[in-house]
Amino acid sequence: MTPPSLPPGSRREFLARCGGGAGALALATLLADQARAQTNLPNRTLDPLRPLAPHQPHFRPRAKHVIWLYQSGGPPSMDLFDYKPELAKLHGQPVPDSIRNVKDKVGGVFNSSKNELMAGPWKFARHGRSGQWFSELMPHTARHADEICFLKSLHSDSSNHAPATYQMNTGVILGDRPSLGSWLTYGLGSENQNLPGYVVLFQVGGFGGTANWSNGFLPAAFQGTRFRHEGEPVFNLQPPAPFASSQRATLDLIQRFNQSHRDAHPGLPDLDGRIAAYELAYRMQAAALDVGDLRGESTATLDLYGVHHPDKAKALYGRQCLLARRLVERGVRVVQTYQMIDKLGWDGHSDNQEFAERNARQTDQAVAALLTDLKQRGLLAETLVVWAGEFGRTPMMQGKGGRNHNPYGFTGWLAGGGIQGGQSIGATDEIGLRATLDPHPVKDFHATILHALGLHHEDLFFEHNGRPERLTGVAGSASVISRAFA
Amino acid sequence: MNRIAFTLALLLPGIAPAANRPVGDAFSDPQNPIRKIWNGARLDLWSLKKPVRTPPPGGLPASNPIDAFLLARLAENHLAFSPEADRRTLIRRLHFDLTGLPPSPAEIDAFVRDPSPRAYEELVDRLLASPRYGERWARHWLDVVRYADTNGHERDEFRPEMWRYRDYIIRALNEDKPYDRFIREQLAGDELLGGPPRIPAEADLLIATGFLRAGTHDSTASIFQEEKKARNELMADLVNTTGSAFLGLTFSCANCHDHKHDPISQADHFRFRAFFAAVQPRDDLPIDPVSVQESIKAHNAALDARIKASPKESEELKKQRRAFTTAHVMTDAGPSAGATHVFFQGDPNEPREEVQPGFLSVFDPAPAPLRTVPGPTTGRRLTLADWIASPDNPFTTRVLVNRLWQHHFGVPLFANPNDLGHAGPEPTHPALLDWLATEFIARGWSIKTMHRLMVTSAAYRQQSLSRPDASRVDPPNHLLWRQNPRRLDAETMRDTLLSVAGSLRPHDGGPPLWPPLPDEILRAQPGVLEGLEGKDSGRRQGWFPHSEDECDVRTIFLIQKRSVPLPFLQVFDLPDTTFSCARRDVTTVAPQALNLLNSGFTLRVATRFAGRVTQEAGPDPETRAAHAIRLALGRDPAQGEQEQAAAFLRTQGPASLPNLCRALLNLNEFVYID
Repeated sequence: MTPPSLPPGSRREFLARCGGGAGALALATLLADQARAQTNLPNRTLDPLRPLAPHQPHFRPRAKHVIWLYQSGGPPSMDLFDYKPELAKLHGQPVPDSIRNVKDKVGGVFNSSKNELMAGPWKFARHGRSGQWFSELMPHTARHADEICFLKSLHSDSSNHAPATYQMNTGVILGDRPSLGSWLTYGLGSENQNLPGYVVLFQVGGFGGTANWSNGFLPAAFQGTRFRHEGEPVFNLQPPAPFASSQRATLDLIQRFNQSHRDAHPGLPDLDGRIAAYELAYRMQAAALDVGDLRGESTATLDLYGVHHPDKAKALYGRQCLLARRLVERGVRVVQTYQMIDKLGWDGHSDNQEFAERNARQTDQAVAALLTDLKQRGLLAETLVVWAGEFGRTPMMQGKGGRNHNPYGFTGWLAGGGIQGGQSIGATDEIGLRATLDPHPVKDFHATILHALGLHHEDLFFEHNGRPERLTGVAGSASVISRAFA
Repeated sequence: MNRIAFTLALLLPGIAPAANRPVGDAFSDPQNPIRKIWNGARLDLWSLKKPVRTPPPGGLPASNPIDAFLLARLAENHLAFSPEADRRTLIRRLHFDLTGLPPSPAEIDAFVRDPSPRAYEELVDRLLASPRYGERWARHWLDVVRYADTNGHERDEFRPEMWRYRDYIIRALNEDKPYDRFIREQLAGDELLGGPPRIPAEADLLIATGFLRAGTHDSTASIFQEEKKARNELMADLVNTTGSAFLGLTFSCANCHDHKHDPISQADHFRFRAFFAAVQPRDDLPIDPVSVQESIKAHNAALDARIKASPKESEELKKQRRAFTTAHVMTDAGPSAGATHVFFQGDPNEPREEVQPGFLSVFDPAPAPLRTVPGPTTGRRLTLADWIASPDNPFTTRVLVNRLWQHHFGVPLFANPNDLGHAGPEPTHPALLDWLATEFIARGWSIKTMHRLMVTSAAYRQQSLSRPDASRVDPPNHLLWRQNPRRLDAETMRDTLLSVAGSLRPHDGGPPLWPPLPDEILRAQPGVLEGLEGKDSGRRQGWFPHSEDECDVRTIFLIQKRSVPLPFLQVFDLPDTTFSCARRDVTTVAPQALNLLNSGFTLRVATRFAGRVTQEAGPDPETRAAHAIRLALGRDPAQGEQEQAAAFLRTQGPASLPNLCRALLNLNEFVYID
C-alpha cells in the first residue's frame, strides 16, 4: 500500500473531499498551491483522492487541450499535402539512382515495391492567403490552409504498422510504455474531475491494440479511456434494468459498510481512495452521459460534421470529431480519435487510389468541421489539433497501383493552440520518399506537442526502475520544432 | 603519437599487458575491463559480494530466525511486533497468500475451533500441499517471465501450445522442484535432455524452454525486411528477461551503451547475448516419448499403406492419422553458433568487435568455458544456466527469496525485485536477506521450505492494523512492526468472486479458455478483425470464445492475448507482458468501481451468489443478510450490519438480494486482506 500522505480527517471533511462541493473547491485550491511548489520534482506527488487534479505546467502554455486526429494505416502524403510535381514527371519511371542508392537504417523500402514511380491522379492547388498546396482529395481541410502548419519531414523507425503506431503514440516501437496522452494528463491533470483526463474514440483501434493508449508505467489514472460514439459512452457506466433502480441505494450501502471498515482501519489512505473512486464513478455516469447526448447540438452543427450523412463511415467519423469537441469543451485534457472504419485505414498496398479516396471522403469534412467549430466557439486558440499517423507511403508503386509503407519521410500537421498556421516545415526529396530538409524524428514531434501544453520534455519525468523515464527517451535529445509556433 | 605508443607497447614487454596472464576480477586486477571503464568505481555495489551468513541475533524472544533479525532492528528503534492476528484473519491471509482463494466459512470455523497447538502449522502444510498453491504462485512467476498466449504486435497470433509452459510452471511449483533445477530447465532443458524424451516426464525439459519463447514476436517483420531487427529484439529480450528474472540485473540498460549505474559494460550485454546466439524456435519438435513417437510413425505408415491400397477410403483414413504432441520449444540451430558482435549504440546495422559468451566481466572477463552436452546443441545456454544456478552466484538466491518475501509481506526486502543494482535502494534488512539466501541453498533450493519459514514467523502472523507509536517512527513500515494489508490482485479478485458465488469450476489446465467478449472490444485491435473475418490464412489472429460457464475457472487458465487484455483484469492493474514484471502496480481509479459495480461479469456473479444465498439461507431477510456477509467476508455480521442489509432487502424491490450481493462484492473489506 502507499505510505500515508493524508491527515486522517473527520468523516465530514472526508466526505466533502471526495463528494465535491465547497470542500472539494477548497481542496482544489490547496492542491493547486502544492502543485506549484512541486512543479520541478521528477515524480509528481499524486493525491489518491484526486489523481487528475489540475497541475501547473512548466511554463506558460499555448494550448490547454489536445485533439489528435490519428490517421491509421499510413496516409499517402504525396497524394494529400506534400505536392511533388517532379513525381508526376517521373511517373512510370524508375527511382533516380541518387535516391535509390541512399542507405537506410530501417528495412529495405525498395524490396517490396516496384522500381517504378507512381504519381497520384489528383490535382493540387494553392489555398488561402498563405497559398499552401492541397490535393483535391481534401477540399474542406484546404479551407483551413492558413490555420494549418504542415510538418513535411517527419520520420519514424519502423516500416511496420504495430511498432510504428506504438512509436507514434509512446515514443518507442515496443508497445510497453506510456502514451503521449498519458504523459500529458500525468503532467497537467485535467480540468474536469468527473471525466477521464484522456479519452480515446474509435470504431477500430490503432494497429497493436490497447497498448497505444496505455499508461505504461504511469499510474492507471492516466490511461486512455475509450468513449463510444453511440449508446452508453463508457463501458459499464450503468447496470441493466433490474440493478439500475437500486444503484444509489446500493452505493450508499457500500459506502456505509466502507465507512465502518475505514474507522476500524485508521492510517490507510488507500481505503479513502477507493471510497472516493466509487463516488467519482457515480458522478461519471451523469457526466459521461451528458457528453454523449447530442440533442443540444443545432442542426447546423450536426450537418457541419456530417453526423447524419448517408455514408455511415463518414457519419461515424463526424460523430467522433463532434464528441472530441464536446470533451475538450468540458475540460478533458487529451482526446484521440482513430479514423479507421474497417481494419485497413489508409493502408492501400494494392489500390492506393481507392484507399486514398475513401479515407479522404470519410474524414475530410469532419476534420474541417472540427477546426471551424472550435474556432467559432473560441476553443481553437486553446486546443492543439494534431493530424498524423504512423508513417506515410512510398512514391514507388506496389502491386498494381498500390503504395507501400514509408517511415522515411511523411507529413503530419498541427493547428490551433498557438500554432502559426499557413506554413510548411521541412521537406522530402523530389519524389516524396525521404525527409531531406529539417528532418524531424517522432521524439521532436512529441517534444513539440508537450511544448504547446507548457511542458518541457526533459523535465517531465517518471522514476521507473531507477531510471527517470521521459516520453522522448533518456538517451539523446529531442528538439522542439519551435518554428511551428506563432 | 598513438602509433608510437602502440609500437612501443608491442616492443617493450614491460608496457604491454602480459598476453598469457588471464585478466582477473575487477576487485583485484587493474587490467579488468570494468576497472578500466569506471576506474575502480562502482565496485562497492552490495550485491556483487556473495551473501554472508551471520547467525540470527540472540537474546530475543524468537524461535524463528526471521523474527530474530526483524526484532533486533525493531528494538534498535524501541519498537516491537504487533500482536498476533486472530485466527479468522490468519486463515484468510494464508489462504489468499498461498492459494489465491478465500477459505470457506466451514474451513474458517474449523480452524478457529481447532484445539491443536500446531493448528497453524498444519494449515500451512495443508495449503502448501494443495494443487491450488501452484496455480497461485505460477501466476507470480508468469509475471516475471512476461508470459502470454499470443505473439503480440500487429497480428498477435495465438500460440496454441504455450499453455504447456504455464502448466509446467504450476507442476514444478506444486512438486517443489528445486529452484536450481527449475532455472536449468527453463534456460536449457533441451540441452539437459540432449535428445527426444524417453519417458513422458522428460517432455517437461523441452516444454520448460517456453521461458525463452514467451516474449513478443513480430511475424510481419519479414514482409518488411525487418528480420535483422526482429532477431535483434529476440536477443535483447532473452538477455534482458534472463537478467531480470533470475539475476535482478538490468541488462536492458547496457544494450546501447555501458550501464549508467552498475558495473556492467555494453560488451557484457553482448557477451550474454552470445549465450543465446544459436537459439532456434521450434514448434514442430515432437515431445512424445521416443516409444510413442515410434508407434505414431508406425501407425501412420500403416495408414499410408492402406490409403495407397484403397484410394476410395483415403478421406476416412486420413482422419485417423495421429500427430505428434508439440510445444513451443527453444533449442539450438546446430552444434555451432554464429559470431556475436557488439552493436554500436545497440543498432544491428552497426556491428563492432566480436565477443565470446562470457559472464559478467566484473567477475571474469575471459570467455566462459563452454559445457559439452550430449545432444547436437552448443552447450552455451546450459553453461549460462549452471553459472546462474550455482551456489556461488551472488544474485540468484537473493533475487528469489526477495520475490517470495515480497508476496508474503507485501513489500520486498530490496525495493525493486528485478534490480539489485545501484539504482534500486539497498535492502532494508541486509543480514536477513543474506541469511535467507544461504538458508535457501542449505535447504536444497526448496521454495516450499522458504514459504513455510516465512509464513510461520511471528512477523507474518502480526495484525495489520496501524499503531500510532510505530507509525510515527516508521510510517512506511520498513521495519515490519505490523503485517501489510494487501489488495486482491486482478486474478485473485476474479477467482474470489467466482468462489464466493459458488461458481468456480475445478480445472486441471490445458489449452486456455476464451471468455466471450463483445465485438466492439475486439475491434480495439485491427489484427483480430482479420481473424474474425477469416482473412488471416489460418494464422489464428481471431478470438475463439467458449461459453461463459466454461470460463468460470481460475483466471490463470484464461487466454492471455497481448493486444486484447481481458477488460475486467486490465482495469485492476494487469501488467504489460512485453517485459518482465517484478511488482504490480496497485492503483485505485473510477473505472475499477464501474467495472466491479456494473460489468456483466459482476452482475452474473452477483446473481449466482444471490441464488446460493437463497438456497442455503431460506426466505428470511435477516438470515439471508447474515449468510451473504459470512460468505463474502468470512465473518459474522458486526453490530447493525445485519439490520442494515436486511432493511435493504426489504425496501429495494425484486432484485434486492442480487443487489445486496453486488454491494458486498464491492466492499473495501472484500478487496483488502488484513
